[in-house]
Amino acid sequence: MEGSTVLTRNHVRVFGKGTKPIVFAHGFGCDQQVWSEVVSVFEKEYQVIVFDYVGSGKSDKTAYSPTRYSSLEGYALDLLEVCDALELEKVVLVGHSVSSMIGVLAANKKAALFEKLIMIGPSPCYLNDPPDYYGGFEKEDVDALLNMMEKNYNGWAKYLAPIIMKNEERTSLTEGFEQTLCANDPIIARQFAEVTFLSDVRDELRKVTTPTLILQMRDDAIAPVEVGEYVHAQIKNSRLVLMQASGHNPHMSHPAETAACIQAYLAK
Amino acid sequence: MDDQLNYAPCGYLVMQKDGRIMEANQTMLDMLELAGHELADQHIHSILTVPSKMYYQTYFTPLISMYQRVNEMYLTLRSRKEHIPVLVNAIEREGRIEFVFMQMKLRDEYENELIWEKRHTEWILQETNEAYWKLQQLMSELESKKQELVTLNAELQEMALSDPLTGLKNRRFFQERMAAFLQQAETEEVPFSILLIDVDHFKKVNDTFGHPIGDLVLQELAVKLENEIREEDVVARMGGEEFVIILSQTSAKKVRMIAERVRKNIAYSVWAHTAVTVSIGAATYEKDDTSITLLSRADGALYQSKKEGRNRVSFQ
Repeated sequence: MEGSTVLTRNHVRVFGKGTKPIVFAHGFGCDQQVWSEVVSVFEKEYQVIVFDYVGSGKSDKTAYSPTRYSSLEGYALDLLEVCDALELEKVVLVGHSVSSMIGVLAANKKAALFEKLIMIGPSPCYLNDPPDYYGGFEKEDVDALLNMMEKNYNGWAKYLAPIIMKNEERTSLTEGFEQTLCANDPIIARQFAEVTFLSDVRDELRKVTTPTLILQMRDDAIAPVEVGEYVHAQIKNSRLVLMQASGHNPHMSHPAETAACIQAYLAK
Repeated sequence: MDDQLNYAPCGYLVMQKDGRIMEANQTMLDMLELAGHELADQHIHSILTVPSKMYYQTYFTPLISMYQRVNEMYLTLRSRKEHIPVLVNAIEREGRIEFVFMQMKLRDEYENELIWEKRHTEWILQETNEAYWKLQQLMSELESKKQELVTLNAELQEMALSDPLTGLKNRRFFQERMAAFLQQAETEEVPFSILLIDVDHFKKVNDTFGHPIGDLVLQELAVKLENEIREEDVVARMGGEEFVIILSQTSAKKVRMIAERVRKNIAYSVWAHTAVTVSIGAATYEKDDTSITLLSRADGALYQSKKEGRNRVSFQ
């Protein structure tokens, strides 16, 4: 794929006065906007790169393929393709939530590309796997979450439409295209949720050689402390920092502390 | 909190930005079956079900921080006994977040039914699609089998009407065509002629060179005969070393010339293995001829050619 196409496809934005690249990768359910407060701290000294995964934010949703994005590997490809398109080297990757694991997959594929991995609230496996692993969730919880997503989508009842459309090709092309586009969002979100919350990349952690910072929050309903400790134990060259911030989104709720933790680690 | 808000017909709750609950109205406490002191200073997570906590962290936190407002979010609360579906509105104001919770048990049941129906419909659609796809597969299989049969049939027909050694048509084909020519000659008075052609001294060829060479000679002759006829004519192998040609629209006057030409071309042609000549008996359709009468005149003529020394043409 052409570099310029990738940049449009993933709605890539590059800014900052520095040359050293720092890439911020958003988590499930949001887009690059979530970084707005944290990135301002890095603009002076870094080349800041933010992007949206295909299917999220202002990405080109027509590029979405249920096959490619049926596992986190597809999202890791997005990340690698963005770095390739910008010809980045020695990248610092800041990944929130599921993007931490997407970063792990990308780093295991192309270790030379990454200088440091910074994980915010990572979890390699959300489901419990007794007796040795506590992820925090049961399969029923994930199913209930998917239901909740469905109930929360604006006009959720309507999005049966594209499936019916396949059989009756009555709608004109443009109309159909627009409908599919609108209607796809909940379907993409649902698949992303399934891929995220049912993922298990625990086996990948041991292979990571890139120096890694793990930012663990208190009271994180999605990635509990046990999980952060597990990630720390598995990745040889890693450092675990327990933040003052609580919740799963410290980059939004506590941007200053988040930026400071990252800066402190990078300064070493 | 004044009474109006305290007993308003919806749950009301205020929390710090870090998720710590500051106060809740009585309706909220009743909904959760809690006393006031049980909620104060608790984290908002403590009243959410597990999936709601996930949803809250994934969507509520980013939304409120970006827009300072969340409208109509569906969540489920956890009371001592049960899960309570609620619709939530929230705003961020003066560093705190204020919530309104509207219970929606009935509507939730209704929505669950809708979702179930939707799933069911999707399932049916998928089944229908799959069945349709299978049907299409079957149909295309049937079509290709049918095509195979048609091809096979054509091949069988070709085999039934061909002579395997020379590739010419066989006696059966000749008889069918002869019947057609006779009928046309009768109804439209179009004359036609036949040539019975026999290889001279073919036994000698076989005896001298062996049967395989004899077969090759017959094949070579077949090619030469095919070169002698027009598209509308017919050439066939009657059996052994005997061949027949039907000359369409050919009168008695013309047939001698053509027969003579054929004989000469065969006699003077170059042969790959051993040269042979042919004797020819010619006959032209006459009124009331049948296949038998016409063939027997040609046969008589052939006999005459043989008797008179071979490599010649006779006409009857």
